[in-house]
Amino acid sequence: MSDRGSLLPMVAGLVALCGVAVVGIIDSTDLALARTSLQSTADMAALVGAESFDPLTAQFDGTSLAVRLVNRQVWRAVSAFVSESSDGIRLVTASTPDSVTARVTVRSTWSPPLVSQFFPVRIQLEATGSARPNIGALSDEG
Amino acid sequence: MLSRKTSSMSTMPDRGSASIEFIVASVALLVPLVALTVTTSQIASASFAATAAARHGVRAFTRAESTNIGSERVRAITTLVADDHGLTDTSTRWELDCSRNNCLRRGSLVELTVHLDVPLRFIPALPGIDIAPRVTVSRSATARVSITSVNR
Repeated sequence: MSDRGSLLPMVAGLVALCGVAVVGIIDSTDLALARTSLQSTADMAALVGAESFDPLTAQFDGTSLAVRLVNRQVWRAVSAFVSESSDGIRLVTASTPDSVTARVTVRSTWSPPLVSQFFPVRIQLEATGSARPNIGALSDEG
Repeated sequence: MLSRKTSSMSTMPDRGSASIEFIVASVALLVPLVALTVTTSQIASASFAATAAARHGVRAFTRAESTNIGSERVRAITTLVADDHGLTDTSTRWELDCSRNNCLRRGSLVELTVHLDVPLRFIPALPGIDIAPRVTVSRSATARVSITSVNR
């Protein structure tokens, strides 16, 4: 048995391995960013849904103003916002479980920016945001 | 170990070019890889920063009393976020796109796009590679001005 051999193929192999790692890091970074953006859209859409109430139905109970959210209005306001504000994001649910909170779930499909032609991976991302109306708040609050 | 060395020496000596090979390999392959890694991390930092700046900036802008105050907030947030991500030598720009003439009118949709110009320190210095010394990373976020906003 001899120790004959060349260092170059080993270094080339190492570099190839590092290259694959770099591609993996770039792709996973993009996935994290896509999730952040989707969550941002869900949060903003939930805020829109929380303000979809009819002002005429607001009731003053002596200390605060109370409004009731309705599923149909939440869906209409949120779907208009999502379709106008973002490409490639679909609205899954927009409802109010307790007439006070608007809950919005949005979905998008992510594919890796690099080597997607070799590995056609498509991952479904989903984000849920919740918001409540903040009546009479000054602009710096909440 | 001893027996292997002995047998190796008995058949053929390890005539040495390992150090030269290592220097050639490291200069030719590892240095570009390190440059690529550093550049990638710079762009990734800028992407995270631009996403955060757009997300928080548009929220701060839509809650401002006037467009001047809102722009000031966006500027402060963009600078803060860029500093947080260590992008001190990065120039920042942003654009506001409003669905109505008065950006801060109740119910108006506001889209904030943040551009970060990332300088590429290593790539232009490599021989034979002719690309721009800067990469622009752009991210946007949309928010609606609250119907309870102080602006009418």
